[in-house]
Amino acid sequence: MATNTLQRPRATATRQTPAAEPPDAGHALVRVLLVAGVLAITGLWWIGTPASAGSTPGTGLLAVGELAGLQASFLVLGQLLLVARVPWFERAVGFDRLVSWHRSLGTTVVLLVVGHVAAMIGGAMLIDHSTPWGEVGTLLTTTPKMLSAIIGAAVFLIVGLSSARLLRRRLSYEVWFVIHLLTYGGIYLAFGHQIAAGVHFVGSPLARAGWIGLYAATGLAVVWWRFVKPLVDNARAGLRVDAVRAEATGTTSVWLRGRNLERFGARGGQFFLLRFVASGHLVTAHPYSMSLTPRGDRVRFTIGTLGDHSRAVARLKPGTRVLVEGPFGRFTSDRARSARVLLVAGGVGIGPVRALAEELVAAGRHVVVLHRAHSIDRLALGREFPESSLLHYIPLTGRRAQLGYDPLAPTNLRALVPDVAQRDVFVCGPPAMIDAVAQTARTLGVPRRAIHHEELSLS
Amino acid sequence: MSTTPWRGTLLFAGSLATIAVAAVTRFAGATDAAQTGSASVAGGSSSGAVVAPGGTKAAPGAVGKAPAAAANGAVVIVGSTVQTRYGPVQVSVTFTAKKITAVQALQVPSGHQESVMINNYAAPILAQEAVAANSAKIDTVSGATFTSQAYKTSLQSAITQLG
Repeated sequence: MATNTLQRPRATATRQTPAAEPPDAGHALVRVLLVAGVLAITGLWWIGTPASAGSTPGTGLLAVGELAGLQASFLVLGQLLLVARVPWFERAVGFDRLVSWHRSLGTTVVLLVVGHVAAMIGGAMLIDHSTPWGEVGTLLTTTPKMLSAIIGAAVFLIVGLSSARLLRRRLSYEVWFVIHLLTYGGIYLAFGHQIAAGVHFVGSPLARAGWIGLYAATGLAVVWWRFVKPLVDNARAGLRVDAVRAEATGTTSVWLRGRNLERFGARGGQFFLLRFVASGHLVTAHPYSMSLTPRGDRVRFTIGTLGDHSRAVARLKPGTRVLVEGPFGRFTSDRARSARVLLVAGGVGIGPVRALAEELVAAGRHVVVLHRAHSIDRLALGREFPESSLLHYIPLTGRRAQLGYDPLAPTNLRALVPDVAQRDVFVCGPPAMIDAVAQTARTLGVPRRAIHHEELSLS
Repeated sequence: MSTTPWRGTLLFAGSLATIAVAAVTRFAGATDAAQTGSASVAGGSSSGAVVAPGGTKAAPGAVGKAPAAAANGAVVIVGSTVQTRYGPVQVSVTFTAKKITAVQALQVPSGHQESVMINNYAAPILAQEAVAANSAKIDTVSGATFTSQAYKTSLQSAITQLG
């Protein structure tokens, strides 16, 4: 129950120190590293490009195309690292922002690749006075590894298109994911021509070694954190479905049982990627938040039965093997700076809020929980918030259309939680509700850095 | 998806700006470099010139004259100068009894350090290939694509001059 003290000591005493590192330091560092990398690559290009390359349009275009290619291949490594589940990135930036940055960078990488191909063909055309198709033929026959490079570029284009908003909406997660896996192949195919034909690497053993090292290091990071480590963790934990319980309309809890679950170091508010080893589930991993952090050999996830996959979760049989990746997320109690905290849960967002409340109360914070749901029968886990001197639970039910007002509008929220401006505000729920609550909190004088939210989206 | 919709566009604009700035500042010195570059190119012959084996380059007046034959029957013909993006390429070919017996690179791009390194290893390979193939149908050397192309063209022009 919420007043239980957690068995893990790290979750309690040490988290009270207010002199925690500023949350944006990690963000800034990752951004600086990316920009510095691009500048370094541009410097490499600068050294390897004679000024005379700019004297004719053709050679100038080729040189510009090379720079675009260099930047694209550097940034794609950045993209890989951002989603490689590197623990340092996860702690410093958080899974949802990493995925979001990965998306934003994707646009740039694909456009740079397209620009690179266009500039290399266009530049050679200008020099040889030939046609585009003729030039492609010339490139294929005279430049090593060019065929695989062209296939690699096509892969980048396909992956990019499949991730563009317009198309992504029409693709199922599974199809999109399989297309996305092609990227590894695309990067491999494109790597050959960089080393064998890239003018900046062929002549300079140092640049060449550095470039190969960069790719090898990224490859190792991906292999280790995305494949080896999860496999080892799972082999050790041996997680299986222990029980499946209906919590409320539209909400199901899944209990997992395994060995030494403390070793994951999971904290309240975090989530795992779960992959159930059962037909219909194996292809995809889904992000689910813990509603009870691991204690002994059990951990509980509370899942909203919204999509076809999560509906099928209710039919899982006990004993089903589960592969997990994680924990992820920065929606954790150490983000709270003040002694008082407001937690706002929308629908199934109550899961992580439940685990978070427990940790905060154990750490001696005063916690108010607002639980928003469409109807009373949807208030899952409500009875797990016993009233105490440190915990106050307020259910808010009814659709806005029926109520005639928004219970989370500034006037209502101030009436419910008069001291909201002095509290850290954690919000978990549908994106629209997160935006609305963040807006309301800002209006009521909560500083931006005291508002915490996180989204569970993988694409 | 809470991805800020304009961030991708902004990032792309930023990388384009980086490329533009890098290119403009890099090529700004092109005018000076091009002048010195063209001055040195002007010194070299632009079409086939004939050189006696082991001898010095023939006077410009020799251009277009019949190939000089040496005592051992070897003929040396200088191929045309071919411009590449990194500089001019020109070869001189030694024919013995109408077979290619040696190729020497008179000019290879040497504008900057990397070109020198590339061509130091590419030129001997190309020369060996030419002797082995006894024609200009030789493979491109990895990483020295431009030099290889120009090398073949210059080589072919020398073969054509031999007739």
